[in-house]
Amino acid sequence: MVIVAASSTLVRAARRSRNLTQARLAELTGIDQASVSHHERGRDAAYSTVDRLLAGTGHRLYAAPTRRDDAASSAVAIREHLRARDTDRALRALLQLNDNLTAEHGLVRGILGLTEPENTGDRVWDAAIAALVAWRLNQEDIPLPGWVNNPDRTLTVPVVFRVDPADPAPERDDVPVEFAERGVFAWADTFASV
Amino acid sequence: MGGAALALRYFDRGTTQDLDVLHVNPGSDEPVAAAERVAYKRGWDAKWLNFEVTKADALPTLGRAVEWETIHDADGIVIEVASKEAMLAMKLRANRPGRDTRDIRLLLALCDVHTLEDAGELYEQFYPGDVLTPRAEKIVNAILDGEPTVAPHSPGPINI
Repeated sequence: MVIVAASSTLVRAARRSRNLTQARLAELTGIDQASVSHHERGRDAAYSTVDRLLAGTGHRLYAAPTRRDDAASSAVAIREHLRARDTDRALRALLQLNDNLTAEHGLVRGILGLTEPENTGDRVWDAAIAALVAWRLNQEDIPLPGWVNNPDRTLTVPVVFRVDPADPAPERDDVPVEFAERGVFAWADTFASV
Repeated sequence: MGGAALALRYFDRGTTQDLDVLHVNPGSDEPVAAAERVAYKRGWDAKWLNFEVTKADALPTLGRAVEWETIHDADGIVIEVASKEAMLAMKLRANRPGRDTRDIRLLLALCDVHTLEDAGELYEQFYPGDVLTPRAEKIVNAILDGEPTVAPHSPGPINI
């Protein structure tokens, strides 16, 4: 099951989760590759087309009782901000994901973390997204989706999660376990509402 | 905290969707119901107004009075923004790494504060008897020791 806001993100995430190329998906669905590519880059498509593309990846659409973006949608926003070298806005997108997760409870919170996000182009942020989802799901004993424990979402050399050069380094006790385990030294306080 | 105020009045800045709010007239649900109608129309979450701030003692109330500047007043909607000095004091109080650091950096520049002592003095004006926490001091020192920060431009008049 894949639940994200934009259908292009939805199709791309579903395709990648099954390790299919665009060419293979085109072959499976009978939709030409240029259309698959156009759609994944954001061109609007009819519901029937989206459904066909998802069928080709073995997925289907469900409605969830929330308007909040999931981790996969947040990762798209984070990637765009990082590409524009705007780490402050990338952090705001991560904080928004944190707010979304904590606002929902039980299965709905789990659904927001279900779909594997695409890489952001920065391994620290990829690990941070996994850590945040694991942290918030663990708080309610919600089973973790497999992707949050992928080895490529753990840094071999731990780093301090710095958004501004003046950010101080945390002590171990300041860092949520899920972040520390993935080598991302981020303050729990960064995610706290005051 | 204060993200919308900073983005509307003081500098270019991303924000999260929720808006911290105080209930001016507790018991009256009409503004909350109206906010929910706006949310449905715009596809937002119905709980975009966050009342948590009422419990967190965020607005300074015991010391120097917070000055409010009106930046919009039309059709019964008034938007007032706290002074940059009050925003700086609130951000120094929160001092969440990553989340508040850039705001503190830009507000220090806007308020023309260039030493730790001046930052501490301003803080105590708004929160009498309180001193900056070691983490807030660390952040201020790191900002002042680094490359100078140019005071940011205001985004200009808002257009609703």
